[in-house]
Amino acid sequence: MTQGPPAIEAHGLRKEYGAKVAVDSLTLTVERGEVFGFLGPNGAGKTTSVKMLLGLAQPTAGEGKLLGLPITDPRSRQRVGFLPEHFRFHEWLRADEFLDLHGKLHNLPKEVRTRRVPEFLELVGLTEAAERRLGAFSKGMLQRIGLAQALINEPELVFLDEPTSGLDPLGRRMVRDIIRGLRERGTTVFLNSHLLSEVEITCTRVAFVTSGRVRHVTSLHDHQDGFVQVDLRVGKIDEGLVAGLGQWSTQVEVETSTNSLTLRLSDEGSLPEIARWIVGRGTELYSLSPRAMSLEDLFFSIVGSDMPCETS
Amino acid sequence: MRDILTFAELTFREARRSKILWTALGLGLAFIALYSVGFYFVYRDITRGSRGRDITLDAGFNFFVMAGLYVISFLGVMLAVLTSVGTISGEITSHTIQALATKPLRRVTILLGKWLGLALMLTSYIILLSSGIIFATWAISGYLLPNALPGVLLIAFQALIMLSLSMLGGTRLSTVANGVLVFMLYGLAFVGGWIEQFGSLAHNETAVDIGIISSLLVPSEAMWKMAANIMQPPAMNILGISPFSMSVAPSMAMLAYAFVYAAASVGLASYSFCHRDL
Repeated sequence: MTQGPPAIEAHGLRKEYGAKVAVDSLTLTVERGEVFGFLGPNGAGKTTSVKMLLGLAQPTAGEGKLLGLPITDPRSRQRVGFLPEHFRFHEWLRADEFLDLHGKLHNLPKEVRTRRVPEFLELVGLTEAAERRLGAFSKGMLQRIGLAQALINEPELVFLDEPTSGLDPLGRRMVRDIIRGLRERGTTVFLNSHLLSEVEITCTRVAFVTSGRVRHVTSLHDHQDGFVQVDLRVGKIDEGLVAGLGQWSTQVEVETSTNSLTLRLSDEGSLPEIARWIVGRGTELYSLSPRAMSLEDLFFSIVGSDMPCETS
Repeated sequence: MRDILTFAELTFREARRSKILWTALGLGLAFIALYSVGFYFVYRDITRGSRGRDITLDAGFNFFVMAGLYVISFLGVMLAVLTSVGTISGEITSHTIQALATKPLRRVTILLGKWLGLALMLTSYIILLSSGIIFATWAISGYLLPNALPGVLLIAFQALIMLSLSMLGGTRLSTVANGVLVFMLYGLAFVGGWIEQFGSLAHNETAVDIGIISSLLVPSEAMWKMAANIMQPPAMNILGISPFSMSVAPSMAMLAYAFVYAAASVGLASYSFCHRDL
């Protein structure tokens, strides 16, 4: 892993469009070498946040740094790659010319570009299409060449905004493999995606964003230990029981027809204590089943269930 | 500077690939050929029985070249607007700008590079077409247009003024809105120029003032008038015997103003482009 300042630092980044607040206050630190997932419903301000970090949109307030340099300084993007959500490129350029141009804009010398262009075309499976114009590319091919463009400067930090939205299952696997390769090389990846399963497989840490604010950040290595969902079935549910369980879980869901309750705990350590308390107060306890929360469970519990999202 | 040249070259490559360059060159050469053939037959007729060159014949030849240059001046303005009207706004709308503007470069280099690329193409095109008809006239009749180089450069500068204005509009307006605005402004300057011309002939000061104000608003037409004034013999300007005769020519102060105007347009375009969200 590369040493140095964090890959991304954001402090109170805010973006207003007239009266509309797109990003309320983004405060976030992404360390070097992380594959960081940025999750949230449509309109949560994910893309606007990325745009602010990359200098495409000017923050109304707050500040940010990429690789230790202020986002207002174009040099902060010297070792950064970006695959935009709308992967539209100059259609009249050939694939190899397109990569050469973007390498040139990253100030890569000619000999480096000559070597890297075929390498990255091969990486994204487009060697055969090197001399074809981008206008003749399919959506998936454009996304692949966009990915190659984002990596041509061998960046230390890559922003991928919905990198698999136009890809078939094979293409998605290719992107996962590329992200894995980046992770092994210590490259920081900032992944903006709706595909929770994809994030679960590839990311080391995720942030959940709603209304332009980071609501929760968790490590995906230990989120299963960190969050446990407990299903309880008891003889009778009363107000005292629900209120009492509130001391362990901030979220208590009640299903009176089946006398079931669902709790969300930060860890499993309190389970015996909960069982003792329920039995101690005279409530019959028929079952107490802890289960690790999936990212999807976590997502819905934090973000809410009123958003469209794919889970494939 | 390197990035500016990269974007200038990219703009040139785009014009070449999208066939704008070849179409414009092909039609430009056809225009020169048509002019040459037409002029040859007219020359043959009007010199039949004449005893060599005289001032009347030269005035006729001058009228022909000026008519050709007038068309080139108009084409230059049209091309300047049509090629630049969507070069910024189109890339913003299509999002192609995002992969470019997130590179480690100042945004202003994108705008200046595009301006430079288009400016070089337009200037070369206008010089090529103008040289073609000036040379054809000389080759057929032996008549050489006075002050051809500064005149043609003024015509090219007229196109660059419209290019700069169109780049400025493109940083904030949609392609269509920008096109409408720039053409309307050109139309305003065009009509204002003629009103001033007629006002001058009729000694109507209000009409002259309207012309001057329109020139201050958009100094493109004033550049054509300066060019027309220096490329015609003084007698023709004074007598007003040709539609291109300039009884009053814009001053050097207007030329200086036009330079400041074009530079300010590019400067404002840069500021506007650098301070907007993409």
